[in-house]
Amino acid sequence: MSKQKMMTLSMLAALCVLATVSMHARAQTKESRSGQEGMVVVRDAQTGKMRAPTPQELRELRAKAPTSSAAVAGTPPQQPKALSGRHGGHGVRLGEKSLVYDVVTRGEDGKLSSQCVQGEDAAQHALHTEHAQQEEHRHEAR
Amino acid sequence: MKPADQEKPGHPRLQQAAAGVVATIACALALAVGAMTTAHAAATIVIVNQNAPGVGFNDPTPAVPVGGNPGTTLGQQRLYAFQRAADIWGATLNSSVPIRIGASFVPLSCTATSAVLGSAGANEIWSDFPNAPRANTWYPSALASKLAGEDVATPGEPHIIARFNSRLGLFPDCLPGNGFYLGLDRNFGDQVDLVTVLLHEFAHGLGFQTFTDDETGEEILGIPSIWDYYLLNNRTNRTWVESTPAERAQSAVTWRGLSWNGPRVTAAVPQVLDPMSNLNISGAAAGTAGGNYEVGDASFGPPLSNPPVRGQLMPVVDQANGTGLACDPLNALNSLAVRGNIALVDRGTCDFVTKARNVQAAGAIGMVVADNQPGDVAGMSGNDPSITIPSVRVTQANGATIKASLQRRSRTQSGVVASLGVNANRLAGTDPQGRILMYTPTIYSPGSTVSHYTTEAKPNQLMEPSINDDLTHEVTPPRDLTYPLLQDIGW
Repeated sequence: MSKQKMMTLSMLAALCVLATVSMHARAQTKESRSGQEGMVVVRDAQTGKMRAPTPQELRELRAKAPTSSAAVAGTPPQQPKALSGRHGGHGVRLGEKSLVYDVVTRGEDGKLSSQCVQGEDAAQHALHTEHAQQEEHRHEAR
Repeated sequence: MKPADQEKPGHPRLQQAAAGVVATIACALALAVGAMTTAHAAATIVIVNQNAPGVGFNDPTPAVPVGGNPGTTLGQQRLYAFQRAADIWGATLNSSVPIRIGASFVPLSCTATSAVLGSAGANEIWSDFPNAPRANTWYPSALASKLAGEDVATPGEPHIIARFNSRLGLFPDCLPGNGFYLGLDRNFGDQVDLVTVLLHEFAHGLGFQTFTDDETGEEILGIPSIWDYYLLNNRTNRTWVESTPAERAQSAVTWRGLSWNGPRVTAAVPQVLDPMSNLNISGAAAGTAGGNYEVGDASFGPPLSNPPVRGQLMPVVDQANGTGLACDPLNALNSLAVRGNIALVDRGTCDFVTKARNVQAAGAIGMVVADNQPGDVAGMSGNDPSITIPSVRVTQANGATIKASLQRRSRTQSGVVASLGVNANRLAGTDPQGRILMYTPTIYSPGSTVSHYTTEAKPNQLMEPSINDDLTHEVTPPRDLTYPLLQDIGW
């Protein structure tokens, strides 16, 4: 095995260890940081006990939630938390805030159309918008 | 055995675990493949498996190898598809710093007819790091690390986050029957080609996105993104960096209002994009309707070319209100009208392919579809190898203008001549200066982002806002303009 490959393997092994440690930490802090999904529970109407929501219940809950902090009257948009670089510079952890979502919809004719949008709220909107009403229509079939 | 995610769709425990745990097996696979890739790749991309044992990438559901994907479990096949996309980007990019993609397959929102396929993006952005080409400017952490020559990301944090839907196509409430195609050969049929979607999403994470808010024009902490130096408002001739937030927000919803002003992309445009399709209306009866019209192309039938297909434009009329849908075989009168001529039909009720099939069967030599809703020029999808006539689509407004010229006609002639060809002086999806346009729909769509190429590009580009069927797995010229844009911002 060449020296270069050995170095690469060592680097990747270290990287995997680092990732392992980091991801365990992320599991504990994810909810408070992203503030988007969190743990959702519902009270069962029959038993009165808390349980995980069904998909339909989750959709209804999301539909009732404000679309963003900016949508709540008088609430200024939250500024992301700043980071300091180890070697100078400054940064921001976007986390899931700025993720780009790909949403696919099947029309009445069975054909799929996809739409790439930014943000969880936009993805939810696209998800529940009728195929024919979608604004992205590069490849409408009808 | 059924896929592991059937137990509780969207269960928070699964989501939390998926986000937080690294599976040793997958890390080892990433290690192995990463090492394998290094021998001839210019950048190493490591897929950091964030799934818990038994789900996502670790789903043990047996699977039959498909399309060059040798995995024998669902989880393995997902990982191979991820690695294929990572290999393509790894072979294209240059960086001495391994790029970490924190990846997982988790239950995401679904209905029976729609689904979130996945999401991805940069995890962190950095400015004023060592060797930063521009001061006070945001760079995605993978690019910042490449430019700095060292990893600037927070230790252990991935450069890119990628999360995909583990239930897609596998359950009745999650687009049943239309799951991810996990083969590597693009033989996806009615499924969603995962490798193509990954190439698209990884590009966003690598920097094919602005971090400035499209809707408000506000920058994060008042600092522009590297993207904004190249995003040009072609009406004011000012880049986003030089614009106010209001100007930025307005330009994001101005049809054809934003161009990419980067030297690498602009230099590559002529070898990637085809001439723009064009409908010319002329003839003794054309009157004020005469002239050139921008059109949406069809994915069926032959592409427009020069010399153009030329003939009398004759409307199909099969509805009481005077419109013509051509959803059924044409009657004798309409057949007589379109035979040897170009048929004008209205959008609606049936798909475009059906309309083309019907007018072709009646003898038409071309088809023009007038939109039935206001909006911008858009294309037409569908596939039928038996269609041999060219088709185009015009906006509702232009359709009304053209129809007005057809009021006085005989059964076989209108005196209005339609010519379906190309504009040799303009490439599809470019501005008059030859720069590619960015996606700026007139009607605001939530989450619509200027971080995509225009939908008018021809051939379709990987970084358009929708994944089109004719995409290849190429990210470089002469087929694709994704890599040149990444080069413009510093890759």
